[in-house]
Amino acid sequence: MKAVTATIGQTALLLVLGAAIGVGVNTVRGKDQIDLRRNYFPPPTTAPASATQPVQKREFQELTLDEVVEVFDDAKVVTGEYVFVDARADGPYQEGHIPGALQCDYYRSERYLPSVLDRVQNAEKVVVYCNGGDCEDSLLVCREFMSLAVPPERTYLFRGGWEAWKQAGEPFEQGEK
Amino acid sequence: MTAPSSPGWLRRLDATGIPLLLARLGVGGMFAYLAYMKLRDPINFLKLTHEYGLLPPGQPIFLNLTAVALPWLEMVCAAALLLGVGRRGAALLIAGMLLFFTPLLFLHAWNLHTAIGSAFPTFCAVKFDCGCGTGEVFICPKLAENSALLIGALIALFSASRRFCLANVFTRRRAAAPAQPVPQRA
Repeated sequence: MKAVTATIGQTALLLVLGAAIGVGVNTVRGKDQIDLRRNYFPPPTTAPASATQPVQKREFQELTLDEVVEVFDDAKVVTGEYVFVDARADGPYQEGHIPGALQCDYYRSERYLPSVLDRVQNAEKVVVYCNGGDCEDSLLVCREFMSLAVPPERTYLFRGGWEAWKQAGEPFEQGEK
Repeated sequence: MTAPSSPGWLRRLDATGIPLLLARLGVGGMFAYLAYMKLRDPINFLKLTHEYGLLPPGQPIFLNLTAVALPWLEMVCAAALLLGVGRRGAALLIAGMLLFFTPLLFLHAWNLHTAIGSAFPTFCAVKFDCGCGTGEVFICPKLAENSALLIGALIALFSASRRFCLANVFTRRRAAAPAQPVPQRA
């Protein structure tokens, strides 16, 4: 009985110690800090399908690789009317990104939004991408832009993302912006 | 905490302290490594924890706290096992975590297998990042690994031996310390 009580006591102590160290380290952590109160995964902004509206509308317009290449080749990219936004973290962004793409890592957006938001709000077309496949970071960035008054009709999601762009042999840039 | 019906040879083997030492080193070492891998990229661990959809979406603090605290809990348990201090508590927590997460892994893999059978024709062909700290893994070796870790954690929990544990050194010293002489008046 004594051993069982001691084991339960140790378990409780380790639980408290692990949680306390975790919260403490997170508080002093720099760029990888998790904001405990932030909802990193907000729900979709479109209403669910109903009897009167059976087909669920997509949250954001989506572009195929060919359409993205067409946007990239447009002269409006140079004038800043068309903007590309890369939603990935520092490492993958610096390894390679679409030339001229602004970085806006969703999970550390407080670092990037001050420099990105003004250009995005004034752009005619904003193409957001992440790694591709099942990555949802670009979708989350689109939702964040919408919450910051960027009109959703100007925001476009490139689902194929970086993987599709790279596989197609399109030009890319490396390093920081 | 040993089972009273343990056969003699099992007790004798346990008394050598070798099974306990091996279990502590194996489970503690593995958990320290897995915790370290999670701590290297906490944001990625947050994303992978979210994918299981276990925690209430309207209360982000639960998900965020889990992502912040769980790797450190694993690290603290691993350290306790490796040092042999609070060994049974650490083993109980590790066994609990394994018993909770292993069926979840199985279900997640089963869902992937049934949903995208073209990519994963057999159950063992399912490969995904389970958030365990080792990146993408095939499900069958992962389940085998977790089972081995669970056996190790149970050995650490139920072993009656105290050999090679740091806690044993302290208790022995306390027992061996001479009683303080009572100061006498002149």
